[in-house]
Amino acid sequence: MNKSAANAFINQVLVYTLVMLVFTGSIGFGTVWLRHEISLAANRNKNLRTHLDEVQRHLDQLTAEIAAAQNPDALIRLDSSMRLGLDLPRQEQIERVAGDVEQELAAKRNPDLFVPRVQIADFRRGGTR
Amino acid sequence: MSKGFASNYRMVILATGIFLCFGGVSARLACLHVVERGELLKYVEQARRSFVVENARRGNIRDARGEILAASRTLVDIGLDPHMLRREDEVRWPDLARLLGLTLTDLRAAAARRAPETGEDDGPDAKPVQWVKLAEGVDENVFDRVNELKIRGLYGNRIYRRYYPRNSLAAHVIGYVNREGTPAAGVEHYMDFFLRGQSGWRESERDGRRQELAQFRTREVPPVDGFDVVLSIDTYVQHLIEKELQVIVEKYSPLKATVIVSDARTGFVLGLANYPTFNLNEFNKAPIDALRNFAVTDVYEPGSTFKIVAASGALNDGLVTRDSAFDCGLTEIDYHGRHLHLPREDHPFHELTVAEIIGHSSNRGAAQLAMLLGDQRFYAYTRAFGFGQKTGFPFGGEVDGLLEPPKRWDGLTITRMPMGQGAIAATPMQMHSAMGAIANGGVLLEPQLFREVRDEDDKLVFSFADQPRRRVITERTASTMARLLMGVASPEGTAPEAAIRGYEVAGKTGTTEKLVDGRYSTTHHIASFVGFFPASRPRVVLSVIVDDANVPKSLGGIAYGRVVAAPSFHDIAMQLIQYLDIKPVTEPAGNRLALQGGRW
Repeated sequence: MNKSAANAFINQVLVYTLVMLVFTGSIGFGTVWLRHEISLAANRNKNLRTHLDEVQRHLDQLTAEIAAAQNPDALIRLDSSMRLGLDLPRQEQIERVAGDVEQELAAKRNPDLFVPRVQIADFRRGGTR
Repeated sequence: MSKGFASNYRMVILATGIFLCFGGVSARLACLHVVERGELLKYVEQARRSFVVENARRGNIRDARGEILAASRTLVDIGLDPHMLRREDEVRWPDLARLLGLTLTDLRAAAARRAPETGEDDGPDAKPVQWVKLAEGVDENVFDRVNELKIRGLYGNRIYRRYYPRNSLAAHVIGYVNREGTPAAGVEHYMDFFLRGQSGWRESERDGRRQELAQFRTREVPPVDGFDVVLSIDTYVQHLIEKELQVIVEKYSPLKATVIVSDARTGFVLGLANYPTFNLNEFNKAPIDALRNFAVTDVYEPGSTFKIVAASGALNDGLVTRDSAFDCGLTEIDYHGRHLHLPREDHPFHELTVAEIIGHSSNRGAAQLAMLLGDQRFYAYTRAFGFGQKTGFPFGGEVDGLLEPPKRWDGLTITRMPMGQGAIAATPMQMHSAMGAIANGGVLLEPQLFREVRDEDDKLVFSFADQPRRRVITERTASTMARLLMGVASPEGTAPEAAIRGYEVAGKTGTTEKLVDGRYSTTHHIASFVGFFPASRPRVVLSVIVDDANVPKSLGGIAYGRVVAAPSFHDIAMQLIQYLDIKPVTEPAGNRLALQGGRW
């Protein structure tokens, strides 16, 4: 075998091997970088979901607290502790309005302008029903 | 060809080295992938593979207005690993103790517990203590504040728990989920299919520190949260009937009591309360008897409230009119060739019309109405009104009640059963439904408890409608019966206490002597008032049933329905009128405040 030809062949093999190493190395590094990015993105996703779960837990907690605070017993206790004196309306406090509610309210506030209403009231006061 | 930059010898050495290296790597790879493959894969499966179940969030139970009656929330069990604690964190221990409601001494004792206590696993192979529980069921807010203290060695384990924000409100309806997470009673159990949702799962891998490697998630099925179940129960109505039950309990200390409120037109239950009851958040501390929903599980002889059956039947078959008269002074009567003794009356009566028989609750009058119908027709009407069979209340272990067929009646049954004694025993819900049939124009309705099922975005999934079971009497008969029942709550009737000015209250009192040692007791009674209003366009059916009330001597000493149940019916009805905005049928007299222009 010709010495120089053999050297050239080996040189070529070496060059190709090195090129191949660089090429596969680049692919390897690229893959590692890609997988690292994928892992970062996956972890970001996981953290976001964890955070969402956490928010959902807090929402559930808040919902439960609001529901407990709206418990009629709790409201009655609050009314008592804050001395608000709130009470249910009594039957005699209720005036049932069959017609236009706004007109009825206006008539109450302006009895001078709504004479018929006043007359009805006088009639009822002396009535026997 | 150009001259190479290295000698042949060196080239061969280098090439051989490189190929040997590659050969070595290849051999090792072959060994790992072929020879040791099985063992390594097993190890990887065990060490890295993870299968995580993601629990679905259980749906809420809501009332008709959307108020939460049952919800899920996470609680945290907090503990510490004594070996991980740092001395420099001890300055924050007082804050930790305060947050967890512990004393500093308790905390120090927990931190000092590094080895198992005597009596525990304290053999030579005993493991050091790595978890000492400090607090159980701490809520998320407190846990967040504990985390802010940044004490090393302090851990929290999250647990999902069902939470009932209204404690004992509607306890027998809502039911509960036990500590193992199994729905055990009530709506929780019956609607579990909708409420529980569907758990998800994911396959993934973990690193050496047991942390999930999110990038290796292979398969994932997301959880589907449970649906919300919307009940027909109204929190306010439920609250006010439970308050009224408390009043009854304080006044009469009964053995048990039940109040049921339903919509007269649809049969939807607006409120159902029993005494004794229990706190849903502490169901494990409640006596077993308190867990029963008496409204459907317990039977009682309905007493005079049952007279509606004989009267409705006789009117419906055209055998009598409201003005037909009967001699209620008779003590004996001939029936199908037999000479029968009529039951005794609380008050002596002579001739009474059908309207008066109902208004005065005459036992002998009711017996004669049933005799007019005959055994078979009376039995048929009793069945048609829903006695002796389940009402269709969806859960709670409803029983059929007792209704003996005519072939098993003895000679006295036709005289005693029409007054709700003897061959008949009903649940409070059955009696309520029967009265509901009159209120609803003669159609027996199934008691409905569920309004809707909604998904997590509040979109409607399923809607429940009213469920008519059958027509029992004609609309005309129902209307006549409603008018007759108004007589009960009139000044001449047995329960003027139930009357409300401006509203037509129709109802029937019941005072049942309880069977004690096989004999009807004169001191133990079940008092009831079952009715509806306004009679001409019924909105609400309301039943108050009180078992073994202790009535003081000043009130007569006997637990009559008029004394015990009718006043509660009145008080509940008064509040329902305002809350449900039920308009008066007749003009109420003298509304002074309103006449003054509403200045209150």
